Amino acid sequence: MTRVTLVTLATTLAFYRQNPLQALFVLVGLVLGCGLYTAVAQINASAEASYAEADQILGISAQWRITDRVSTEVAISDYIRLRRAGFTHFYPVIEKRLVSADGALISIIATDLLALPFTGGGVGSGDDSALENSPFGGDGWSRLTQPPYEAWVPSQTAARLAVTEGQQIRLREGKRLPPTVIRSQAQQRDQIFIDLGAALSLFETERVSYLAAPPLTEAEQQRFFDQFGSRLMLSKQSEALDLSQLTQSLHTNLTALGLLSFVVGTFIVFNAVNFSLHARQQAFGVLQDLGAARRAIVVAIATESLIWAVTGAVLGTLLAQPLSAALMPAVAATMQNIYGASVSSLPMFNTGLFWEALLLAFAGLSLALVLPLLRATAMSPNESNARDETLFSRQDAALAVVGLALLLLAYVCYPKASSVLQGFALLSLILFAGVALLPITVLSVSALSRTVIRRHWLARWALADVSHQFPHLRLAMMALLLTLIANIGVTSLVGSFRLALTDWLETRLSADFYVTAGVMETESLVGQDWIRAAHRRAVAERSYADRTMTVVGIDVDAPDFGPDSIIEATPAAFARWSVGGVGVDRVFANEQLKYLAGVEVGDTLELETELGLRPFEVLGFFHDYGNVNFSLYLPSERFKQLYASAEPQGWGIWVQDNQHAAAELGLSQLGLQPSQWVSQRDVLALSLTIFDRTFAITRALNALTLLVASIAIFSSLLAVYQFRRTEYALWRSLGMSWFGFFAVLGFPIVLMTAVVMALSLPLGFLLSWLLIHKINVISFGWTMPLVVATEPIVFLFVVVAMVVLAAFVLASMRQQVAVNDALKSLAGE
Amino acid sequence: MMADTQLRRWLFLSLVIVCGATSRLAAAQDPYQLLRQSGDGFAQVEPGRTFLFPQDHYPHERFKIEWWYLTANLTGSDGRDYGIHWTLFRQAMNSAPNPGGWQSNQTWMAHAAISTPHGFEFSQRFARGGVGQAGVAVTQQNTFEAWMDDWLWLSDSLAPFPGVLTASTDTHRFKLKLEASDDWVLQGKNGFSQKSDLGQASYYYSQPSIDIAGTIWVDDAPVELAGKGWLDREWSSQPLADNQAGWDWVSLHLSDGSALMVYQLRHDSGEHYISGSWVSESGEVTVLEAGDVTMTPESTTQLTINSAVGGKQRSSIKEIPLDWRVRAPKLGINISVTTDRPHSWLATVFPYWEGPVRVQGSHQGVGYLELTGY
Repeated sequence: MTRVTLVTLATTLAFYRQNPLQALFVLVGLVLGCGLYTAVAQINASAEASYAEADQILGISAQWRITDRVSTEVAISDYIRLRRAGFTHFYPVIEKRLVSADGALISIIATDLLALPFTGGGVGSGDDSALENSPFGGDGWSRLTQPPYEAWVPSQTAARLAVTEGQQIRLREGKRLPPTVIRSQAQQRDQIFIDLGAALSLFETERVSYLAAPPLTEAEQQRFFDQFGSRLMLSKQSEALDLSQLTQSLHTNLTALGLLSFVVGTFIVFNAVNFSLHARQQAFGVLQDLGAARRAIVVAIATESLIWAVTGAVLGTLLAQPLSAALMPAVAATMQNIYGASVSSLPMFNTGLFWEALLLAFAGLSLALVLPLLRATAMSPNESNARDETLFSRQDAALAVVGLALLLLAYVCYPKASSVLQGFALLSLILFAGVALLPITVLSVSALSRTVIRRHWLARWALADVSHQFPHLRLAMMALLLTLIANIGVTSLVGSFRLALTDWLETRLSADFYVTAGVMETESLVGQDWIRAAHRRAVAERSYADRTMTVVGIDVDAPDFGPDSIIEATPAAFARWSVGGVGVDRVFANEQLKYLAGVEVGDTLELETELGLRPFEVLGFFHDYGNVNFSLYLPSERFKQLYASAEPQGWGIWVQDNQHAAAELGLSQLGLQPSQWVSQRDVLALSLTIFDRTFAITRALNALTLLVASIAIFSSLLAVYQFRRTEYALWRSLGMSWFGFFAVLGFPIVLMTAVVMALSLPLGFLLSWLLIHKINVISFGWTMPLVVATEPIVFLFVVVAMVVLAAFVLASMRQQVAVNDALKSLAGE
Repeated sequence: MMADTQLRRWLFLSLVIVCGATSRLAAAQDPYQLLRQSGDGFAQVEPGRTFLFPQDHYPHERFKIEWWYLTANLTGSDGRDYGIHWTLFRQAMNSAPNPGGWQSNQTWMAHAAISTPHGFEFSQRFARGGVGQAGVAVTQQNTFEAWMDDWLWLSDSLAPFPGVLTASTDTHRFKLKLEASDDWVLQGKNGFSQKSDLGQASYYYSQPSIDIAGTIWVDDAPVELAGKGWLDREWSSQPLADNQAGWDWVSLHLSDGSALMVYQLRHDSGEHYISGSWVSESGEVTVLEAGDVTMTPESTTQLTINSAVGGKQRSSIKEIPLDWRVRAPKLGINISVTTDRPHSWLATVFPYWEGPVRVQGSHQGVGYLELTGY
């Protein structure tokens, strides 16, 4: 770098020393953009690392899963039989998702550590201190495996649950986990580990959730099938367990929000840089007069942006740490609730992300610099102002064409999008079409208003000022539009989902009480006058299209499944389903079968039953939110014939009106312990709490993008006022009142914000419609009606209006002082 | 394989955690520390015990540690030598009465090792007691059964013989018919086998003359086998003294039909505790004490030990005495014990060298050598 360039750099940088607020805006834009992007990337990396481990270790990890053909759990005796038959790589796993007495979610994993695959080849050479700590030494093993046992709680989980060493976590139904031992290890994630013996005792069972196994040879698979195939099922859990694939949509969504923040951050930077270059044009001219080559100025500005990029990336990465740590538990909750995946609630930092942030900051800064730099170095300040308006007009027209083209492209691409990524590309088209259409819409509204309001001079002036302010506020308004579209889209999606889920849960959980399986016989219910209805379901698991298929036996008169539960049905479907078919069994299928396996109403599926392969005609579909598997509903009478050995689940009991207390007393009198029944109302409330917690991440990111957009508006307002300060001083010197002054300044902001809001509504709804009918279907295989709730949107608009107002007031207050100063200087005071 | 590595890593981590809290550094550095730990609270080994058969073939849960230890020198139908060793270890994790089931305080470990002309392969397994995955018990058919998973020693009676042993390693498996008389050799003083002047001892009996016939499948290719085996049964609550690093043990079938067992526990001071027995062809037992027998290493061999720790391969060099001179002057025994299978190191949690040996000198013969604490 030559001396001239260095001097030029020192001169250009001196601007920020004199205008610390401008420096702050560049920094805020970069730091927020980089910080949010890095935080989201860290969250994704952490979750993906958990999936990678999940594919390889405990539980869901195992490449093979052994389940019972008829029961949902595997008997311990079957496990021992398998081990004694030489399947020594099989190990038992109990996985439970429970709720603590405080309402916190707890994920428990239990296995027999000694049973994990362990070839022993080369395990110890006698000189490795780690390996001598075998269960054959010390009393640690007996503490883990004998009462009162130990619960190994990772430190972050312990912090979340507020438990300390030695404390026993109390479960909702009153049971207590073994005393806590705080242990953190990478593979344990957010799960609490207990010994299998402790779990069997705690849950009072002789069955485990499943058996897992590492890769098996074809010969081993065949031997398993020959010896145990009639009772146990070996499945390679590529579907439910391929978590990376399953959760792709959520991560793409998060990445999109992270990038959106970055884009909005870039807008702030653009404004700040634009302003700083504009303000330094005179300085550039002086530098050129003093002999600095244009190239030296360009190099100095490029160096300046490099310094900014490094500072932004470093501070952004630092900001990302507490941010991702704060957001990660919400993501972990989402993973757990929607996908049943346990991920660490600690975000993962890697240096690659820093370089990514740096690259992004530099790219964003360069983008923000290109246009202003070209203008600043190619033209004189006067030329620049003169060309501004014509340039923007031409640009706006071109942008409008681009916007329409993007919309057209989205329309053409819509039927073809079949992957999550393509779905999100479609969403981007909508977002950017909205952005591109914004200038022409604002200017058209302003022009149209001017033709309507001809008489009022102040109004006409204020309207005319729109076209002066808009070029400077254009990017900030675009950022606001992007944020509003994303907010409305996601809010409508979550709102629709909540409503659909609530309806669905209210039907599914319509029984007042649920009694645990196996604790109450049918005869006990006879003559109990507090009972309105009592039903229980039975479940058999099969496989269909490489995915688990749950066949459920349901009483035809059960209140939790009726004609209203059916969507897309054949005529009189429920009645036909209730009476059954001849030669073919009639079923209802969850809509996952429709969207993920291409099954249509009227199709016939062939499924294995205990009476051999049987055809099942699909009469209609039902919503089955959150289920990653296929499911078929069969009338229970027929189910009992086809799956005679399937164990019934617990009882759903509907109680006569105002007989709740009598019912609880009745259940106690039948010999049931309070832990053996649950009130479904509590379950419903809990489910909705869990739901809200699940979507906390979306709300948090929405709020953060809104914050970034607000800062963009504030910085843009400051910029526009700075640009026009002399002009404003002239207005005041000509005798314009402060009221008139602020009316002319404020009205364009109000109009622009109103146009942005108006444009964001249809685009936001379009976005949520796409999220529900495209992304959701691609990702989960289910859909739901789009419900537009006005309340959150009104709230959002009020917040935006207040934020814009606050930005305006803050900027104007500075402006008032600045204009007064300018006037004084004009007056030569 | 990746999954396997991860699983092992999980187990290692878990094992470290299981015991990490309580294991002292010294214990962490020497796995055999377990055998030196005080047996307070457990039943103690005392002289004068009367052995009862078949009851004593089964676990003695009030003692801390116990094993069933079979070694066999076999000749294949291909005319070549094969060696097999199979062991089952039981350990009580504490001295409390065993609650059984999933709360059992008993833990099991088993090793199978196969020495063929082509190489050496071993396997190690663990299981908890009380759940049916491993144990030594009477079957519903009223016969003796010792097992871990599908490794099974099943006899026709309440005694271990005659019986059939089936076990395997990664690529080899074997099935052996085991026959022996009911004449058990009580080692030491009527089965009281002292290990140190400080009082450490075990109950110890053997069956040195087992006739074995069977098949080994090396990579699924069968080879018929026949030869002699040796079973040791031993239980104790503290078999090693604090100043003993490990032991050298040899069991030999000599060409005159007699059998010789000698062990020495190595003291830090260099003055080892030696003991043994000689069983004549007719079954007479002569107890060998210090002064009756010596066991001296004649040279050492450098072995490269490869082990996998947390998915990473590690190598280390060990200096092992594989050539020995055993002298029992009163019995006219002056023999060299050597091996042509030096690579018989079991890199297990409790690592040791155990392999077939050849006897030359005043007597010819074959046998097994065991070296621990190196």
